[in-house]
Amino acid sequence: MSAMTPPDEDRALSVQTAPKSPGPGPQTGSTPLPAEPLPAEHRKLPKAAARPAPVLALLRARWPWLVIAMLVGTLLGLLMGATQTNKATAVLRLTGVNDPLRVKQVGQTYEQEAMSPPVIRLAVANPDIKGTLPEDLADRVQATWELDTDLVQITVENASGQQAVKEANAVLDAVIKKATTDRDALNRQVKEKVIARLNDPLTGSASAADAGRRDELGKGLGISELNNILDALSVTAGSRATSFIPAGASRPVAAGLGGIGGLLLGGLAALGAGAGRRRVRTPAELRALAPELTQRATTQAGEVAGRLLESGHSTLVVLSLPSTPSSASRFAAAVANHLRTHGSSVTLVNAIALESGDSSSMALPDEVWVLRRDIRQDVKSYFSTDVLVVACTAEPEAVGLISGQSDLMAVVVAKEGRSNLQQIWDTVAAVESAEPIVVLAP
Amino acid sequence: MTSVLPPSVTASVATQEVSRRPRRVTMLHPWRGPAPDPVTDPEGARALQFATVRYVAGLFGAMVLLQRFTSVVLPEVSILVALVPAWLVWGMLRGLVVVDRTRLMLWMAAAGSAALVIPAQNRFVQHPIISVTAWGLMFAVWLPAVAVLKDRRRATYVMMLRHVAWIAVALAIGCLAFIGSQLVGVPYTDYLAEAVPAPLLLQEFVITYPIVYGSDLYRANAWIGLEPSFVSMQLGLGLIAAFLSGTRLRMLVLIGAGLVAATAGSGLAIMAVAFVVMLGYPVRNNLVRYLPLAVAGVVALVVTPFGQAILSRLTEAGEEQSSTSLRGILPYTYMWPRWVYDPMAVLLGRGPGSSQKVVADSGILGLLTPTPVKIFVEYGVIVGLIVAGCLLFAYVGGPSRSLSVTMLVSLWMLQPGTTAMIAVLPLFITTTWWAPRFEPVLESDSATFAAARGWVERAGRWRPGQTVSTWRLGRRVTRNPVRSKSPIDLRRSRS
Repeated sequence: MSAMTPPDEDRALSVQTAPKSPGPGPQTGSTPLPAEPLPAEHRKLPKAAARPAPVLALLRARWPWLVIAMLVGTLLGLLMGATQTNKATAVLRLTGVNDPLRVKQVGQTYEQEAMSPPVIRLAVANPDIKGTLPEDLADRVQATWELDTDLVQITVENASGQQAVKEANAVLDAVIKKATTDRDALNRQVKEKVIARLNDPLTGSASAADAGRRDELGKGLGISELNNILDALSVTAGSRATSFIPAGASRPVAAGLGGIGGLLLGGLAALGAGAGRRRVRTPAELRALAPELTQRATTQAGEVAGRLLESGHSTLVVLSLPSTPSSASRFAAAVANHLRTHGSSVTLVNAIALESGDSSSMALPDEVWVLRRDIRQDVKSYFSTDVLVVACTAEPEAVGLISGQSDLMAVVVAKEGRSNLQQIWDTVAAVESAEPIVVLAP
Repeated sequence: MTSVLPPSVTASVATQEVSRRPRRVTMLHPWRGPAPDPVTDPEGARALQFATVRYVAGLFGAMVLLQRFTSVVLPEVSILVALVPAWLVWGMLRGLVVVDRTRLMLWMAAAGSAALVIPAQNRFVQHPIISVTAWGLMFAVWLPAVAVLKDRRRATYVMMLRHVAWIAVALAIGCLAFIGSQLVGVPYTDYLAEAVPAPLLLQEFVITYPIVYGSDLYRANAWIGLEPSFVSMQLGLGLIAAFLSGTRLRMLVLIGAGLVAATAGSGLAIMAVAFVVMLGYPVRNNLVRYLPLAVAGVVALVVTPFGQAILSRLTEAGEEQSSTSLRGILPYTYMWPRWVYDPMAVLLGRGPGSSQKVVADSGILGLLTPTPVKIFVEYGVIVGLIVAGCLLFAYVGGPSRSLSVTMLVSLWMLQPGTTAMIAVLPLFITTTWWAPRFEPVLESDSATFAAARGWVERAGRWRPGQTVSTWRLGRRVTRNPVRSKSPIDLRRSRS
């Protein structure tokens, strides 16, 4: 860093003046001492406090994220729904049970019965579903007693809808068959017992009472058989399965849900990422994402000049964010021209121009020291001008020289598609006392 | 730049500037920007405060009045599910409500992951039960949780609580009229059902039922209540609101009487939990003065059939088919084997709406689906945790700890309220929309009542000539200026 010297003719390339009246200004006397440069590790502006951007603006700014997430979600939904299964339902009807509590008990008993191994084994023996393994079918069968009805639904899932229909009917038939078989077995047992009883010889002498006893037993057997037959009819086919429907969510529904889920999670990512790293693309976007900023266009240099004159300040600092040196220089020159148009005499110090050949260098041009509070006054006196306009890069050294001061006006020049919002916020926060205006250059 | 004007001049300029704001906050004249500082902009702060109080209390009133109505498009869905989002949009257009970024992100995480897990359930879980409507309803009901009020000052909150208390008083009077009409011999008639076409009313609810089996006396629902338990819940909230906002004693008595007339446990449970929470805060000092009233209330309860019906609920927990068991014990024991049968069901869940379907198919009359059961059975452990986190965050940061805790206990343990807007809306009204709070919780101030009076006065409700006891709650407060450190002193300075 070279030592600071007052602006003189040797530096005329970077200093343009339009003195009101020619004549030497007051000399600054002794050469001012340069300020100590900041250590290398401090060569970053302090990070501004998080400023949450408006939610809708952020979602609008990150709309590609939302679209991509939605497409990914839809694709996932489609993949998950690729193996669409179907289900068919047959209905078992309970008859002859009048007590509501008993209906519930019988219904829930048949729920279990329909999914029990004996019934499944019986079902797979049905020629319509020949080759189906019992354990495979058992996994796909579900029976449910419908509340407040005497119906039990037997539902079977299968990738093939037609096969699901056959399997549901096979299980239905198996339940009825097993119920009938059980009743028949019970009938047989009763019959055998009665016959055994009939054949059982009386201990005393045969008499007329024996015939009466045989009549009674015969009647009892008949009634018992009749009851069992009636009981056996307590389970009938309410309706057989004839059609099938998709089980769970259908493929379009799965895709739709995936899309909605992706969209919401994409929105979550957009909100979580925040606006800080967002490169502002349009003035409207900047206005939406950071409504608290005072924003102007590069074409509004005249308005900025007017503001400066109205404010009573005599110094304007145009801070250029990275990638905007030429825009900042032009804007500073435009403001200076407007000021001259208004009759002010202006000293324009363009500290960016010297940097343009070596943009990677972090070295600060000497002209930036003009931002020192004392030198700002000296320069105006030296050139006998009313206003000092300084264009410089928004490096920490330059910003540090004007930070916390309100006797000047600051303009932060950002570039569309290049400058990110965090850079703008950091710079604006650093010179907040100067009520900065943000100019977004195209 | 430093102003050259003296501070008094600049202050008056600022006041003139803001006084141009409309006195009423409407859609045509919405409130722009954040809530104003009540010191520098008292007129603006007052306009926003009144608008906020009317807005929130109005919604509570709408909830009480419209709880039996259905959204015509979906007959089984309450009109409140459509009304509350519409109310929120109206609030946003007026500038009273904004979106809370954190809660929106949580809601997006919960709704998005729940939507994404459904295709996975379809693919990997054995016997999934999937209802897309159930998913939509759940997250539609919880969408309003993303809103936050601009004016969340304690003064505004207390004023809102007073309005809620007045609405509860009106509801309590309705309940007392309901019981009174039956006691004088007018049999119970559902006048609302006679006046309004059936398609406009929710049908799947037990509007009311006899106090005890075989009795001709029906539990009070003020004819407009969806169920005595919901009416009781609203009255319980009203009672706590009345207590916290320092209303008159007669209001508390009226609401308490309405609570007894409803003969349901939910309101009493809310009251009990709230008062237990208060015991942990300095506000407990204010409870002492109500001890005689509470004892008298309990005695009165014991000797009336209403009280006996309520007290019988306290000892029924051990019975298998009792209301308490059906809410707090049986759902867990019944659902457990129907959830863990498949490891993928545990991981991914059985599908939205599955828990209600399984409970409905159980044939156990009155079996409910508590919130934890619903969340974890339907969405599995992973997504369930996200959903639970989203829902639980809605209880955090409210201005009243007793109200937020009581809503937590009510919705997570007593009421199957996850998808019922009528159960969830009181949480939004009393807690969620007021979070994060600006000031310490209401219960941390032992002089809450005095503070409330001070706020009421500052809000312009106090009129010159009114004595201090006008705003007192059944007991004289010391006038010793040395001991009194409450904001009631502000009233003195006002005169």
